Amino acid sequence: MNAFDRLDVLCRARRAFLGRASLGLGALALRSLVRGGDEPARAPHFAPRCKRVVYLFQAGGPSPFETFDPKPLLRERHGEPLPDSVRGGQRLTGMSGNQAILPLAGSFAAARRHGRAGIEVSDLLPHTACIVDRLCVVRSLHTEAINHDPAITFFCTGSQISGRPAMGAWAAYGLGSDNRDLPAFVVLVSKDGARDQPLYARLWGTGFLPGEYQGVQFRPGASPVLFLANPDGVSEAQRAAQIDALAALHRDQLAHEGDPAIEARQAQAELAFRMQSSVPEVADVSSEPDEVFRLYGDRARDPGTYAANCLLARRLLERGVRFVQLFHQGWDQHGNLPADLTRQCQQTDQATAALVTDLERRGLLDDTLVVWGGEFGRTAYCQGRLAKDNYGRDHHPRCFTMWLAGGGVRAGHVHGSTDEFGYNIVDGAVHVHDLHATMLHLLGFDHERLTWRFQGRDYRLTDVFGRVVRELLGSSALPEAEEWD
Amino acid sequence: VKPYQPPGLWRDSGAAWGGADYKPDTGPDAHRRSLYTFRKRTAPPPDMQALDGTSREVCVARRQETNTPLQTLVLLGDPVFTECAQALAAKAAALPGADADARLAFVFASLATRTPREGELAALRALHATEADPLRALTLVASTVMASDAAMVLR
Repeated sequence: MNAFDRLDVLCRARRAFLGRASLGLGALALRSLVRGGDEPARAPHFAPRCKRVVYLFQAGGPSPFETFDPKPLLRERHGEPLPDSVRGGQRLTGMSGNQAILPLAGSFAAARRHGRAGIEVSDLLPHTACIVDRLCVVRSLHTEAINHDPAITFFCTGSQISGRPAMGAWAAYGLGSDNRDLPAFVVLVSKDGARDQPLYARLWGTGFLPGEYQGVQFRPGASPVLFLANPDGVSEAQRAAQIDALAALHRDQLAHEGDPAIEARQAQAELAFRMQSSVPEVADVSSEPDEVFRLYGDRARDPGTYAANCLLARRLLERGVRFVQLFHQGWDQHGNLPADLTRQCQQTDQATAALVTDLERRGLLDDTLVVWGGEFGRTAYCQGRLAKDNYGRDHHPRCFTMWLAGGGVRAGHVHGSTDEFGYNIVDGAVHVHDLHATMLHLLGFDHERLTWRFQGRDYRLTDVFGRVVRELLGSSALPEAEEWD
Repeated sequence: VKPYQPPGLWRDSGAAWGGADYKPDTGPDAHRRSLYTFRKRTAPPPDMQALDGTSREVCVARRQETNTPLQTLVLLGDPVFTECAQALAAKAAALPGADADARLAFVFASLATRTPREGELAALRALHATEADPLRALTLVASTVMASDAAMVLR
């Protein structure tokens, strides 16, 4: 118990004494006991639609025009200036705001309808096109930030200003871990994404939530979690002897101090010891059959690539990890879009589709939510010079596309639409807060009631905003949700 | 001052812009107090992060006190701590005229600021006996005491 807790308890004790003394003090004693040990996981508020989440974060802001929201008009009017009426006085970034003209840029890639649902997908994503009947494509996301850092922080933590807990930390806080030997929130950063915009550890940080909910980054190589391996000269038997010695020290300390936090520390030391075998086991994909590598692609054999991380994500989810977040950088096509976006799609398309397929055939897709998307969209106009076969697009927060799959979402469905320039949302707007509210809803939480008291007020992932977007929920999810209206 | 960090940490977290990666100092600089440690907010020092160091992004009036398996891994495996354990073991080994128990008690008292109780001393004796080399045995003991409640929590 730290000084503030002690003070808190004293203040409460005084209040309780002045008020309803005996009852208040009894509850108090219980609270301090609980605070001394592990924070218990909260129970879901209602029956969850999914038990775990895999979030495929495409960092940089993938262009909707060349992926999931094709706009034939831009091809027809290629090179013509963006009408002022469409822009509506929007303040642009310093990167394209001073351009003399803002020429419309038609997509270099063709798109066609796929699946029974007939959803349009670009030819750059042939594998994703094959699973489109599993997807709920949302063409009407919008955000408040126009630059990477605030926009990605907003998506990952619900606030543009850093310091709040990541969404995976909220999920871990709400649900706890389903595996005694692995962390609840795991982060994987692809090594093959172009490092054009940096990522930050705060994107999977725990903010003011307790540190055990922090995202644990698994890195490629012999020691996937930092300091997992024994130091040189310490054998496995000696590490076991160290844990035994710790147990004896802690037994003695507990007998003298009587603080349950001492038992909790020993429990965590033993978990650390178990992780020394469970983490290398889950990270080692060599036992996977060849057929799996055909599904995910040959890149999955190279640890740390997006494809390898998709496969690792499936192995983590299978073992009960609650929230796996992949980051793939390099989607920031200000220029040279045709070549660079093609590369991005080639790095990710097959493995993304493979993950959805693999989860489905293992019976995990029903209760696993898959999310794909970046931090904002891209402009309908070209940034810089519009060449005959080359162009770039600037950041665009007003509308962009993401998709969800599995875990209680409506499959084979397109939600929302944008105008024929792909510049403004026409209907079905989904704000970042709304996405968070919907994700928490699928996990069984009322986003307004999953809170943590900090600096004198209750904080939520959605701050004071957000609404559950019921149109994204699968039919089976609807009756359950209505009970709680 | 840049103490030890596992190689490629900035790169692997995606925080290395322009390919810059962390280059640990060598020599005495690597062993200065963590007060002087170089901090990159986008990829904070991993040991401080595990041990409830704040992110330094918002003002924090109340420090967290958490308890995670990563803390045990840091305390038992991070060279920043294992080198401290080695140095403390060397000091204990060099105590003139001390017997085995006195060396164990010295290690314990240095970290926990009190003399060990008999039960604690017995636990350290058993651990000490698992390694024949006297310096390495004391290092093992120092490292273990570092990860124990007696050393970590002010009571």
